[in-house]
Amino acid sequence: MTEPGGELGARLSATSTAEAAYGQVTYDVAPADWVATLTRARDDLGFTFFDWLTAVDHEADGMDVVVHLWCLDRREHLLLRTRLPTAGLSLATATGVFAGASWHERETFEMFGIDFTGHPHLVPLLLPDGFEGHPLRKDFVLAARVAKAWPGAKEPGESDAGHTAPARRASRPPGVPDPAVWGPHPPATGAEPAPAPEPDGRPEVEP
Amino acid sequence: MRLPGAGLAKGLAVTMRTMTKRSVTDQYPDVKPELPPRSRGVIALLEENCTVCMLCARECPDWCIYIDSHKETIPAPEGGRERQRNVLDRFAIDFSLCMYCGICIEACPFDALFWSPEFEYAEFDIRNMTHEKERLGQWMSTVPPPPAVDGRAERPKELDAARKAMEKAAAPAAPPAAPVEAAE
Amino acid sequence: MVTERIVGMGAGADLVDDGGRIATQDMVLNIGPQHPSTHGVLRLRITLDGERIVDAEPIVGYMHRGAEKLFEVRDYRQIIVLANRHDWLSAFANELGVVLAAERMLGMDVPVRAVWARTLLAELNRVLNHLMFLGSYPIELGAITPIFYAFRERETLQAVMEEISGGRMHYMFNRVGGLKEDLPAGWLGRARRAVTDVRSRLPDLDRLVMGNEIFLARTKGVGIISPEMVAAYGVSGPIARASGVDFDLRRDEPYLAYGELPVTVVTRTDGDCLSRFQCLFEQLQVSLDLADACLDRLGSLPPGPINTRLPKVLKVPEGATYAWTENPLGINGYYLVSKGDKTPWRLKLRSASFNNIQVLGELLPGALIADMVAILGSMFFVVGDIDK
Repeated sequence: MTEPGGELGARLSATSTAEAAYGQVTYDVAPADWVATLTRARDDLGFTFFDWLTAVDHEADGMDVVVHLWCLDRREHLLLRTRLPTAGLSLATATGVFAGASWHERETFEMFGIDFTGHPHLVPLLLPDGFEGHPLRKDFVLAARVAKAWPGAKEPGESDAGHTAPARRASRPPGVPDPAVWGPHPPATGAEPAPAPEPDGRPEVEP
Repeated sequence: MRLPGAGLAKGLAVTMRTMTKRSVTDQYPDVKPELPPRSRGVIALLEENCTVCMLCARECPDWCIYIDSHKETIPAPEGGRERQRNVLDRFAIDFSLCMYCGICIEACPFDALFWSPEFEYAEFDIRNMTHEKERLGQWMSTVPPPPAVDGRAERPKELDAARKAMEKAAAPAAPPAAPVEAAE
Repeated sequence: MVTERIVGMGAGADLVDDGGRIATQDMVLNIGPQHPSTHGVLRLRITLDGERIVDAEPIVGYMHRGAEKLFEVRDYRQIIVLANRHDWLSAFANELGVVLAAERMLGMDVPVRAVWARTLLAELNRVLNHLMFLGSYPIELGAITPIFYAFRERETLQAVMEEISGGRMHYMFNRVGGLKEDLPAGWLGRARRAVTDVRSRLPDLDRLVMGNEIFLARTKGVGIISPEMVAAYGVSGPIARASGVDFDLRRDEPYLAYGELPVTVVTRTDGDCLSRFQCLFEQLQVSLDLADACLDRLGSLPPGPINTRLPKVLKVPEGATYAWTENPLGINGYYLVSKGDKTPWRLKLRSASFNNIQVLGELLPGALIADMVAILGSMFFVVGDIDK
């Protein structure tokens, strides 16, 4: 589906590609072109209304930073996306182009751990002081899904202690991590695989 | 040129006029409110209909339904085989976690769960908000019949199916008298 | 004598500077997070030079509940009940964005009766929301009477909302493909009467506040937002339109049945607190007219379904889409990224108050501390909508 960005894409950035889906076009640019493209979009193409900026975690494939702009005169969308590699989660700040990007970048910084270089005040926005980890990353385990056992795990008629319903184990509800790689392990079962080591101490849980 | 304070006087005139009218305040708790049948007040359980299929507990986004059950063997009838059935031991809803979405009621395939407009079950301690099947069963008496739906609503498929079955069964088919109810 | 002056200037003021004038020192004032004028737990860190604000930083997140993370572990029916909560005064409108995004990716056609009923309920929800702020804003300026009138009207409309959906705030009435269930018999007539009643009593609210000299003095020319600020910060809704930004998704990118309705976009040009309040008030009347138009149409549509039969496990195909709606407080949008599962891979929530409140950092400096509450209240926000 990815193809050269067409006329609008060419005016945004020489290297952009476009992907059309569900009646919307998303333009992909290189991280190095990010700020220049946003500036062109605002100054030359009339996309003056800043809607939002966020990220999407694609695990090993890196992270997308997505921004949505709107042209008030022509009533046109602009969805702009750039892919950051897991090794370099850093992008130049857009606050110089759109003042409103400030909070959005702070939120993306705390939720995904993406560094926006040049941001004047890059501190957490919504999370409490001292919060560890980046909650919207895919490897961040949601505390509400591990703090107690899933009541739906029981099989009809098999609540008494003797039954352990192994069939249901296989289909965990969304958000519950695989007990083989997450959670406490009795020391006796040393042969079991230990939790996969994560680059910065993950997986984490909300405090 | 506007008189100074004319706007203020205009506002005060509204207050004066309202003062002469009947008050709109509800006199709760002396007068109970009349709530519509769809009001999502509390979830009632009709224990007889529950087959312990676990669907409600699994569909609940808040994990607030707790069900325990055991299997019971029904002795074989004359010339038959013995059968097993599930017996409900515990059915509890933690209303301190419940978000009152009603997904459990929608998910229930056997009509064992119902909304009741009853709302007076506040507690002084959050731990007392978990209600067991006995209490949930008591609320069944407060469940109102569902309201008739708009004349432009689609006829529930169950009605047509039921009529066909009736016509098939009895040659002189009686006209179906069931009221149009909400299609789930 | 000198001591008294120091108290007047604020603690720690140096007495006299080199030029012989009385020197002052900036004072940092925390408004909130528990403060009656911030309705909710918004905190403002304000630096003052005398009576004038020189710096303001909204400190948010006290009510952060991680909605976006919670969306990722829920299927599309379970998301609806969670998504209607961040802005608890616009529950129906919040639900809409989720189902519109899912329906678009599923390529699903929604029955025409559901489309019109959704439009009607969205407008009634807008009226409920605006009535809340039309009542609460005067309170912040010292007028406690209007809220009683606003709540009488809210009660009238909430009765019909509760009759159809069973909820007074969190309706949970949308489903992917339509609505939960059909309208109760006779509901259209009762909804019509409620709309007529509310409209007939609006002049009361108008006379109570709109001409009030004190109200005008507190709001006229105070807290002016420029159209450039609106665009740079993504300010939307009645606040943007009060600054002359003629932008309303109901007209500019019609969803639901808005394309067939004559949507009047209410704008003002002054961009001050009074304009924002006037926009809100006039939008109320526009919404009541739209609700009447929807009622007319619902009464003349041919019989038909109000929802779509869904598979047992609803999976949204792979891809991404952005669905936005004109919520009562501004734009509310969902950027849905699906990898073909029954839960979204990512569901970004763009809430109206988040962008609208961010502008306070630029809007408040230069204003008087006494105007702070007037400006804050005129931003018509819900803290849950900022903190998500």
